[in-house]
Amino acid sequence: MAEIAVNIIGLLISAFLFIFSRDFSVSTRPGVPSAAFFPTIISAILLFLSILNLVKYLIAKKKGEVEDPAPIEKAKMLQFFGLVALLFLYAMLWYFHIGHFILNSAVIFTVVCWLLSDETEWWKSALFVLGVTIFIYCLFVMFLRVRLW
Amino acid sequence: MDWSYIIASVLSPSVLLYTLGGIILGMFIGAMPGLSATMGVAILLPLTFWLEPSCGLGMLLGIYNSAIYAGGISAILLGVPGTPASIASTFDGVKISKRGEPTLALWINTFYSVIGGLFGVLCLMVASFPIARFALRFGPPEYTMVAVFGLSMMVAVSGKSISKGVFVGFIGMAVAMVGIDPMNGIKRFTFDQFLLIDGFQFVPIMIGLFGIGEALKQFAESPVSHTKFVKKLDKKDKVVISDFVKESKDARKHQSWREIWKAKWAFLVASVISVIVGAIPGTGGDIASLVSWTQCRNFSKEKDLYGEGSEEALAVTCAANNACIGGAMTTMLTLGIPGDSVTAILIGALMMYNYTPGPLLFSEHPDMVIVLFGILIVCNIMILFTGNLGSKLFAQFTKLPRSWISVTIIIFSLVGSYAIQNSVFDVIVCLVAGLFGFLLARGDFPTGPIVLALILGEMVESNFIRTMMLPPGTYSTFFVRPISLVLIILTVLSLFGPSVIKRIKKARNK
Repeated sequence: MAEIAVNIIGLLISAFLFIFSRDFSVSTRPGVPSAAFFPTIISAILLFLSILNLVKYLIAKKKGEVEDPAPIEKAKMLQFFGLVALLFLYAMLWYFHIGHFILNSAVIFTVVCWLLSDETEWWKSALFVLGVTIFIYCLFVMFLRVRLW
Repeated sequence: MDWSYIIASVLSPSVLLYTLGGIILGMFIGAMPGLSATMGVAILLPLTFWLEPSCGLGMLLGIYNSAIYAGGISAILLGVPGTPASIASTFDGVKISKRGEPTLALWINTFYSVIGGLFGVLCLMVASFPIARFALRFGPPEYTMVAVFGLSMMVAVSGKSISKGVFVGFIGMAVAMVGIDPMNGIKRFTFDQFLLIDGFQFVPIMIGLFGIGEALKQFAESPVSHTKFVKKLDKKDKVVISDFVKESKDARKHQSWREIWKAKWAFLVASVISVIVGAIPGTGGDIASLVSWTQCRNFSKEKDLYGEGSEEALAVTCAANNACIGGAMTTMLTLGIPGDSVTAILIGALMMYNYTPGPLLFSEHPDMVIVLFGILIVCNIMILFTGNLGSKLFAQFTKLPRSWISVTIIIFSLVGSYAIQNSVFDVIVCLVAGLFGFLLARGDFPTGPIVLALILGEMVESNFIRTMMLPPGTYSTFFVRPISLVLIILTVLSLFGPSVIKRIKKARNK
């Protein structure tokens, strides 16, 4: 599945490059390739390689020669999507300046920590995450003068 | 050359302190199976933005050198390589440990990693100035072909499938196309978004691919929770780790210099091979140590012992890992082409400090180049002491809960990618790159070519267009200049040579 997904992403990038490079396909200097020259070549090669990889994969699958990685368990898949969603939620909270860095980090990463290891007691994770967050906050805000929030 | 500046830069307390900090962090990263030197350098790079160049580079080089060295600690004690570069150390290291001599194995690892590393630095010092002087003759056509050759080498050694390597490389090139066109100054694929004018930042993508991507991969692929894994490991390897801790004083009697030094010739051969392998773009410590192990076994007097717990074989792999760094740094500093993924990130770090790797670095900033040499020597000397004193401690880190490590990596990755230019957009880029890195790993695609393509994409494009602007303005320019022609031949050979040889061998066997 991952192999097919990556190749489809390649196809999409190829189409994207091809469609939008027409906006700057006129060269500004005579005899010099335009700004669209490289994107167009990359688009063509990506298209070719995506199709080649897909065809190779499908043929190998038909012959039973594909060694797909072990499938992710269903329960783990849910946890995985939960983890990714939490990470994006964290970025969104950051983007829209909702809450505070330490508070958001402590809550979200405690859940992440609990998701990553179902046997660690949550309060241990929470304490650890809080410690790491405060350490990183101090490191970046106090020493490196980064405005984290 | 201002020698007082050089000495003051290398030996100033702050540089020594940051280098030591980098070495301790690198040891932690290297000793933990699953954390690589690339990941360590990528996620800790933003911490060095606000430091003086020599302090920041000292820290990064410390992480790089010590992570590669410390990968051998878990390879020896657990049989699990801490970093990919230590795969070959598991062949003999764990067997030496299991026969009750873990301290000897760790001492061999420390000693030979350090002298291997110093040998690599020596080669770097001897070779880099002449190579840089030669590279000054390069014009745009040569640079175009050097970059194309670099990309082709990365692809050729990147895994089982060449088409997958090329594909990933071109995705990296596509990402590098976003932003202002280097020659015409036209905005490409920016959609009038201010954040995209400079293109995607290199560092968040690296952090995402190697930090978040790796954390997601480990989470998805771990069959049992880490706590169970540690319990399992404890049962299997308790004897080794506890023996190591208890018997460290007793085992000291095995550390006779004669016993350790008997691998000197094998070390020399392995170091020479590794420096050469390391200088080839796209290779790394893993390939260098495997090639060295195989070659040294062929000529060794004790070839039957290789793989059965030979001290010489362990010395060979440990020396190879760290000698390879000198080779990779040579290509990176003299030509601006990364020898491996870590040196690709180091290029980003150097550029951040306004030092562009390439031949001009040697003529414009020779002092900085010498400072880098000095820092590399200091790193190796520090590893000798910290490695000897801290191996026991770092061996215990392998028992830390995986979830805690993963969360720390994720927080560092997100904050680090934000810190580059105080932009949450970079955080989102890092997360998307992490997801993509996870997909690449699941689909058995190599990640290395993306790194190289992101760096070399712009180099290929700008130099290609410059070549076309030169008279006669045709493609023939690439074929009539001797260096460029040689590079074209090498590129074709590296891309198609292995498959042609394979087919010839197949045909002969039939």
